[in-house]
Amino acid sequence: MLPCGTFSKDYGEDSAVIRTRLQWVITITALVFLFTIPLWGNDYIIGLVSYTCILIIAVLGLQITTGYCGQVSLGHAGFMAVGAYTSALLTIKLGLSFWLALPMAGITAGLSGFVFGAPALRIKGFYLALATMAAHYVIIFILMRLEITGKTAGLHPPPPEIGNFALNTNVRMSYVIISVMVLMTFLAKNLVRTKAGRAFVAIRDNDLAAKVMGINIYYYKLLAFFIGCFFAGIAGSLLGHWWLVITPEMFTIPQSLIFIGMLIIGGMGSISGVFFGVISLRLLEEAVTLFAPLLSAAIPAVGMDIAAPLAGVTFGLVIVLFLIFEPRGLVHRWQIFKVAYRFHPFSYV
Amino acid sequence: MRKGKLLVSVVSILVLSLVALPLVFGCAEKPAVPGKEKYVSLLSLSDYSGPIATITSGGDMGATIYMEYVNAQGGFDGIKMKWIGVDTRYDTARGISAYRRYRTDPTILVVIPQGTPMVEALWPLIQADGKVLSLPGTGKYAVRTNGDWLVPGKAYIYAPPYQDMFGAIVDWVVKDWLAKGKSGMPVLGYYNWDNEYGHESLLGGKEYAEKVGIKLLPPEFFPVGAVEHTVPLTRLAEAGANYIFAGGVDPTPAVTIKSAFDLGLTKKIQFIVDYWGLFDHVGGKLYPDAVEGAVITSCYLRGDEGRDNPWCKKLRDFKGIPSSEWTDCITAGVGTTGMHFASGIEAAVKMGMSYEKILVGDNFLKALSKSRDYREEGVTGPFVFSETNRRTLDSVRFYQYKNGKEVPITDWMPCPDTVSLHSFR
Repeated sequence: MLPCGTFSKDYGEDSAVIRTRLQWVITITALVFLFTIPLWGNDYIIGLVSYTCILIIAVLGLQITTGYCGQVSLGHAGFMAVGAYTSALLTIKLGLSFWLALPMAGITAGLSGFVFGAPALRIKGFYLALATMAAHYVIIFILMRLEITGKTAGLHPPPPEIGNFALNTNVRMSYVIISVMVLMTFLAKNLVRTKAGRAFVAIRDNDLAAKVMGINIYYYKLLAFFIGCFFAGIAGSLLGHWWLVITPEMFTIPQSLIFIGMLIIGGMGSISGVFFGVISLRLLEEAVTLFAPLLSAAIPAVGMDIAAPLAGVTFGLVIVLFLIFEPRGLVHRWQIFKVAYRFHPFSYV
Repeated sequence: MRKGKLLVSVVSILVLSLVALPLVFGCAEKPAVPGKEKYVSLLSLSDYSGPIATITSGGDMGATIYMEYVNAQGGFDGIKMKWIGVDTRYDTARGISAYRRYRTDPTILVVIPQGTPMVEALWPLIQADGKVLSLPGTGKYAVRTNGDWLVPGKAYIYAPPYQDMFGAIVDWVVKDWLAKGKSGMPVLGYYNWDNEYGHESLLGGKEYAEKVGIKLLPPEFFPVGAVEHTVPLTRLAEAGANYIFAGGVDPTPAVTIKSAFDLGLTKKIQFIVDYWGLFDHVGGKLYPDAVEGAVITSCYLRGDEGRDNPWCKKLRDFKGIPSSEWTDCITAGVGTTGMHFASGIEAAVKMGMSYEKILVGDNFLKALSKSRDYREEGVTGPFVFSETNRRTLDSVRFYQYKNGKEVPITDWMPCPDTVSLHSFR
């Protein structure tokens, strides 16, 4: 909904993502802020931002598959692993550059999503969720058994390089991660406004009606899985080349469940919702990790008995509260807030 | 409408607080070392609510109690110890984030990442910061090739490497087999978590079993958290296993042995667990009938032997902890993480190092290698760390559950060097 007094006079204005001058100012300020974090942030903040950006990329993919197309995927962490290992193998074994390995990691993960998304053609809902969870176990099982993937010991991918300049520090790598995150957000935002994006939404809302309307639901379901897993593969590749180590234990089922939780809290079916969900959950985790020892020190009689499960309890409680009181997520609250200030004093919401 | 706006405002404030606080803490300057009290800290990137919470929460408690006791006596020439425990829930990302938060603390000398993937991810960061890494039993860090470490850097292994432990188990199995009057060689089954820790014992242990001539069945692995073990245990039994090594951190081996008990397998197969299995307050309490007769491989004193050890008794009295609440995990923490750290600092002080010099990783390791001259043994086997041996301990003791109690069945047995039999990449 545009601010009062703002009208679109042509198709270009109508289809613009960033429409008003204020929105341009905010976007540019946010980008400048993001790209200057490595200059003023300490190591902890830079690491937090980098990891959050990687999660944003992964959850953007899940948003396309689950939020827009309605195909539940509980194996998203497994597809991240596919991307991470592909990228590591291409750089270690074949000596390819990271800049080539990155998109190839995405494509490989996308193709694996294509394969494991095939059950989506015949099943949905709970059964599809189980099938994707099984995909995760299959992927991790294979990675743990092959010599070429280092079995349980994993692999040590090299840091990316630009010529002879190695991006082997937290600061240098954060620029790469933030840039890729901005690019993937741009791609995701535009994808959902294309014919494919509209087809995803139609399938999510009523796949039978979509089929009757002439949408090839088999094609678009597989495409949703491919694109979602492409994003996961990109995220996995960045993770591996940042931490310089990948093991199968880094990609777990609880991680996939946390991604779903981020979608619920942020808001399904919205690109902005990904940002709300990922940032709020990451900060919640950090806050709980910070406060648990303080709590245990403040109440010695109880000690870590209460503090230890605090994170799990908090995460579960937040998800349940959102499902009950705000199932549309933080993005819905943000939209209410925007309408409230844009139409003030006539915002009768 | 007003209620809706109020709700929006409250939620917004909460969300903004959540956003602001970690940023404030993350950006805040670390407090300067207090002028009067000098601390040397150990950062434990622990797991208090994940799959290995049983051992790490108890172990951290034991180490903390030991440090509090030493600090209460005035420390070592006024230099006191601090334990910083962070719950990472066995997640690498959380471990890395937690380390980045604390890495600028100048008093942190030793870092213990509890979890093998976390060790791999944090190794370069910890070495770059000049700190010392302490790890439980990953064998490749003990390997030397041509006089150099396979993995160069500053580290010590606070328990015998898992593959060395497995070698000791193989030796005990052969001895037990022959003591029972059997001929030939026994058949040993391997059943462990399907992760890096679960596979670790075979990296060298498998080669040692072949060398000894024992028949090691194809290993069976299961996902962390699995509760159903019927099929693989039956497979091992039908393959003729006389002994089965059941790995994992308690209550995992307890659940495994319970499954075997329900199948009637514990009558004909001897089950053996590792350092982190069948604790008296977990596995021993959950399934006392099932674990009866099970053998435990331990690098620290267990059961009543641990509780009644003079050091543990001193610490129990200091904290007012009744004997019944002093667990195996607490003894483990005292004897391994706590005492190793403390003995290094004590040795450094006795060698005349200043507080600032002790905070240098190389100096601490040098002192740790000399610490056996000052160390009171007792809770663990002999201390063997040196400049050419990252192992702090290289012997284990076997216990067996008899009438609900952990009874020692051997003295401290040296672990064979099985790590060197495997070619690590």
